[in-house]
Amino acid sequence: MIDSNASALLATIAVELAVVAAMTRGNRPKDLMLIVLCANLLTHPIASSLVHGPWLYLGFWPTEMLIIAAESIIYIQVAGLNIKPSCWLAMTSNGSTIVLSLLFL
Amino acid sequence: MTIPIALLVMLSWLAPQPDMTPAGFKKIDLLVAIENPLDFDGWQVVAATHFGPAHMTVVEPNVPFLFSSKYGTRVYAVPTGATLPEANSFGHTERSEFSEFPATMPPVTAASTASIFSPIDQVLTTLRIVAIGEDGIEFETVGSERFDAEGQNVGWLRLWAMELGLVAFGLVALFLLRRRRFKREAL
Repeated sequence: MIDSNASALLATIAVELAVVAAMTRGNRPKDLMLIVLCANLLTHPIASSLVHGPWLYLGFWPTEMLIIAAESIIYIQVAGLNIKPSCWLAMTSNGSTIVLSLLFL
Repeated sequence: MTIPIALLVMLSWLAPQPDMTPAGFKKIDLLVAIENPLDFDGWQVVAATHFGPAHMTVVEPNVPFLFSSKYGTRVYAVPTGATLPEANSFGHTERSEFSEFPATMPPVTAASTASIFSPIDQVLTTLRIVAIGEDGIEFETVGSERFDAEGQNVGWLRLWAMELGLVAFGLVALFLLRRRRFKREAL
């Protein structure tokens, strides 16, 4: 289905912000929460279109891998984090939403 | 933590509508139109629900009828001259009058729900009958169109306007945040 999925976007942002907030408590780079929010605004609609395939169908798991890679690069480039914590943040936050989506959808 | 909590409160505020529509979603009408129901001599084409409330329509060329996956709308080929059961004459679950006729569920692939922010109110699937046989009706899909509440066609640009806007906003905001970090580090 190719409808705009605002509810899924809100849920994803809420979960990922909460996970990142919990993971970086006490040692959070400036603007990180804003960067997570903007990264999700950028990646979620693209992921949604790649999973539902109106133009290009990639499938669920390849899309999630692509999103984790993209968000890792964003955390490195925009937040100034090193590669390891960037990948760790992207994997954990996206992993949480993947688990929740598999459990509840 | 304020933003995540606020977003979760917003989600819970989007209360489910009746008929098990998930929170944040609305029901959309699925319509089906058949181009050539009169092309087959000896048959008339009828759409009727298989379960739940009885609803029957004699299908006219390109005149849309309501499709329900929940109530199992099927398209029947009824021999010309056969008496059509009146919609009110068969009971709530009894559809035996139709069971002897060739029937097929129309191939409607559109979802019956959409985000409450989606402009889509109706999806019309246009079909063409290829053959009518003892086993049922063979369809081919001609096309699918989306309409808003005013009956205006919803094109792909309008459908994806919000997503494209979010992507553009996210991209610009990330660019500005990166520049702000560099400025901060330069001081």
